[in-house]
Amino acid sequence: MGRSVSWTEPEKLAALLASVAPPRPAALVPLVPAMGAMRAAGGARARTAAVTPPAPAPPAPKKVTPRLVQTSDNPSDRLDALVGWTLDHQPCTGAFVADDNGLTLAAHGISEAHVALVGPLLSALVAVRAIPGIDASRGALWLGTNMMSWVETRTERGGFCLGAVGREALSIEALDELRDALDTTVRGL
Amino acid sequence: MTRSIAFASLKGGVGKTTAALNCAFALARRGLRTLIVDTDPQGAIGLSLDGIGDRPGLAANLANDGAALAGVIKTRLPELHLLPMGHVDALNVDRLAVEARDADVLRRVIDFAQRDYEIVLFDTPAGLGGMTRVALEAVESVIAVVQCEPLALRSLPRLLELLAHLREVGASCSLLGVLSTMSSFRDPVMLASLEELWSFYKDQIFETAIPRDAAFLQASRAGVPLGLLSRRPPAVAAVFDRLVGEIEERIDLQKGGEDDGPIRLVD
Repeated sequence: MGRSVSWTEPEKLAALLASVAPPRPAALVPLVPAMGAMRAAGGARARTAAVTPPAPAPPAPKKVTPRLVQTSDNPSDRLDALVGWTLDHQPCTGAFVADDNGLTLAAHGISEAHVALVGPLLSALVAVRAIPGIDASRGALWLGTNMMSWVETRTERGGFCLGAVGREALSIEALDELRDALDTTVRGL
Repeated sequence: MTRSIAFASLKGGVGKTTAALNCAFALARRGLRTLIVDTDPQGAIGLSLDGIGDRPGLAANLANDGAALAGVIKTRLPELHLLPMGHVDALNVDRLAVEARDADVLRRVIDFAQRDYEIVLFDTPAGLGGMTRVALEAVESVIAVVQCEPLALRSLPRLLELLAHLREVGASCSLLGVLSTMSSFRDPVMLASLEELWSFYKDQIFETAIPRDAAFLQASRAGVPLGLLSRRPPAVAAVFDRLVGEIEERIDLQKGGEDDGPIRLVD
């Protein structure tokens, strides 16, 4: 292997970068207030009521994620229940639901910057979806220090996207569960 | 508080003006009152945008001892204004930087921008002397623009050295991030350059890399930002939306401030 293209001396560069670093930024705003505050109580109720309890002492060692059961006809409650189910049963710290115009319909635990990225991301996926052989209905990408995983579903009223933000990308099985929960939620909306 | 960012690079032709201009456009489209200031004696912003021509700007303000923001031009976006450099006689290029430093003109621009703008972007000329140094002495942050090729990578530490030196002598400017431009995964040298940027500047590099794309040439020919190249802008325009999202996150830009709130659609 030859010399690096930049001829950079890592130790010298590290010292240089330390000397020009900005002050540490304030912590990110952790929540989407418009979605959180007003619906928190209702969402929590919906979460509690909507999720079926885990099966008692399952014989199989594999963890079984309970399916989401929607008990409300109210769209806001259904979306809150979906976000709550995602947070409760998937390895993530934040979750959101957006429509295919990029409008965030429900969210919890994700920064405003991530919310802002949802629109451009979904817009980009519209073009990706047009490429033959590419399945853009699910995926994951790094956003800063977090991994955002998402699934999409299409309805007569347009597309909906459920995203989860956490330290790692969700597994294929987890994405299947998300898709199932999203389908359950938007069906009949 | 109005935030100020300079786009700088020792090497020329790396895409500083393109990045600054399209970032300004993207910031304004997000509703941030944005001013872009051309500090390049060549008038790079004026050369990039149809309609600027030789309109007076920063250079005339210096020569006439005029108001710092005289000559600001409104644009199609209400949130985006620009201050061009205006015509600078080739024989006066060196003197321009001296006069700009003596008059502290860029700090005055930032001071006067406090009332009307949330963010001021400065496009700087290539190199580390002259107006670039004046800009780095005045602004809060700098974005180091690096083309994905070896020469640009090798020159990047020189910019950091200057920044470190200016901080030692009292400037407050810090490195906001490293922006890679003209990236392509198809060319092995470009890919190696990008990988080294990610490796050596992993905490500083913006995750958004500006790709090499024919749309930039088309926008340059038309003299417009990418977002106004057509009613349906090219897909590559979206990279600047992502980039300014990263910039906002890094400088913790608060939209609107205390008086922010719902805005009526219908008057």
